[in-house]
Amino acid sequence: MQLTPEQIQQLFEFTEKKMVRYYDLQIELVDHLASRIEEKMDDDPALSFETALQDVYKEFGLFGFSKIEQEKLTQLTKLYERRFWDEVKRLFRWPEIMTVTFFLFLIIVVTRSTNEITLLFIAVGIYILYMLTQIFINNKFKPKKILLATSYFSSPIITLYFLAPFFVIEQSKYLLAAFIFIALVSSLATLRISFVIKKEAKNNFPGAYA
Amino acid sequence: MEQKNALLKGSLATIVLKLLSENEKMYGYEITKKVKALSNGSLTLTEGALYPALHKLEADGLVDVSIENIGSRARKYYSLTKKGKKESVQKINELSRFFEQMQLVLNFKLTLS
Repeated sequence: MQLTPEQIQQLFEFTEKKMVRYYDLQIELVDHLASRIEEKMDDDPALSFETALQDVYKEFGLFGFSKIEQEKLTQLTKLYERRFWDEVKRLFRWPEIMTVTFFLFLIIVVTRSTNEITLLFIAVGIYILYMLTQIFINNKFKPKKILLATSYFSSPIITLYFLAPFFVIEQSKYLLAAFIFIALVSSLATLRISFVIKKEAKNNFPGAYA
Repeated sequence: MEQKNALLKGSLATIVLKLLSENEKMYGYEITKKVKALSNGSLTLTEGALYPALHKLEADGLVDVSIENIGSRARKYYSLTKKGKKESVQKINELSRFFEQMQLVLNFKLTLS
């Protein structure tokens, strides 16, 4: 037998009640619940939908859904960190290394011909550009329902690299330049994966963007 | 019963990798059913243990995910990545060796007493 769309909707509401807020996680759980319930009701036609649901939920064990969302968030963090470093590696390979080398060259030339204060302004400027691009990407792929896949991606590292110039300004303008370069590479990597992740999510979960 | 579940938890990733290596793609509930069927119902996988294991495999880059629409709902399918295929062979061998070693230890103890 097949569950009706109304029953599927009930399952989504059930997961919400059980504190699973993210749509992509709900989809996985709802499919599982639905498949299992359909099986149970096929085996025992007298079984009601509501009772079958309670029975199936018990099969998730003592903790039910409560740990699943938390551990999924942990895993997603790990996954995105890995993708971040993969992207950084990609930037140092052909052909992207051309762009990176160009920026490095640009930074060195600018550093040699200006002073620390100007470099600081440049650092701030790049940061603002990074933030604006991030906001633009977020708005372009804004889901109506919250997705776990897209609700995480903060990169505290980047903010650190952009703040560093303010602390090393006394030491050497080349140190400053080094931080600017690192910040630039990190932002490029972050922006790219942010874009890819959100695009993937839109492809995978069209229901959240409708 | 508790000891069996503790042992199962440690080998869960390996079991899932093995199943995925024999099927092009599977969805969560399908994996649960296959494990139960293969063990003649004696291994009951709680779903609370399965999904975290799957998510970890995804985070480690061993499985890929694709979404398909089935009737009135969407279904998430898992399949092995290239890295996952390599890992599955490795992990299965590790687990077999572990069980062989355990057997030796247990037999050794038995003869002593």
